[in-house]
Amino acid sequence: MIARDPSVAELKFRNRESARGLTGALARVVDEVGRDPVSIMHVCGSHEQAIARFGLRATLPRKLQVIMGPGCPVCITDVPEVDEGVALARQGVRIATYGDMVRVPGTVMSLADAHAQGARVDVVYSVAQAVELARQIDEPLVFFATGFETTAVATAAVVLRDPPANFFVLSAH
Amino acid sequence: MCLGVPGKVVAVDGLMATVDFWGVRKQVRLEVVDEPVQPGDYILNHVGYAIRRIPDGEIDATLALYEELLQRAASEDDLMASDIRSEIQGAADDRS
Repeated sequence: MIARDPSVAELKFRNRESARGLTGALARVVDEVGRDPVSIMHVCGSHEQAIARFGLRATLPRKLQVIMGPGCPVCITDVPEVDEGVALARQGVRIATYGDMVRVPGTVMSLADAHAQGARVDVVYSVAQAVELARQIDEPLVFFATGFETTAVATAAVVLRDPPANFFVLSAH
Repeated sequence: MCLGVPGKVVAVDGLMATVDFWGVRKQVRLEVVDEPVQPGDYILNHVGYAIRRIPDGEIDATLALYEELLQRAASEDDLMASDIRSEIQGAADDRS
């Protein structure tokens, strides 16, 4: 996820006064909690990316421990996996995937870019919808399956329920 | 799609449940949920699948947490809240 507020994007954590103010405020809050350590789990790979990119852990109060939590399907999908989906789409294969996945950039382009150039990319809310779509068409449909346990089980569930022969899974689980 | 969303089971038909998410009803599949669910139970939904039956003792605290996040969405541009909103709106019955 990317900050949409331009002032936030420009800040880039390089404003010393703001940074000092924030670290001071954090230290006060941690002291108020009164535990050592205070452990907080974040919930998104983009959080970890921002923490690592800007070296934020080094600026956190010693008593504050920020733990990596689960990444969402978007955050934990590697670029080469996006590239595979894009390559299939550009070869004319019809692709279905989660809405948040289509905007994720690959090496050359995202699935949304491929779609803009004429590739067929269908956005589905769930893998079950992709199976329904496959039932309605006569050509192969590849579901670009991303995410960890919470979405992998859904993909497994439809595979076990005898999907149509034209339904395929490109698994990034 | 980072977060799952809790909802109240309204009806169960085989492996398909009708679930109410803050007034938005949608179909949720039950293949992978950890325990049997029945109307009145609360489940955690992620991309159309119930991934957990929320234990009775955790329902109030869970709903309170999400309500706090959703209220924040009304007042500011909160990415986590908008993620929850899109999960609630996604594949709602009136859109499918």
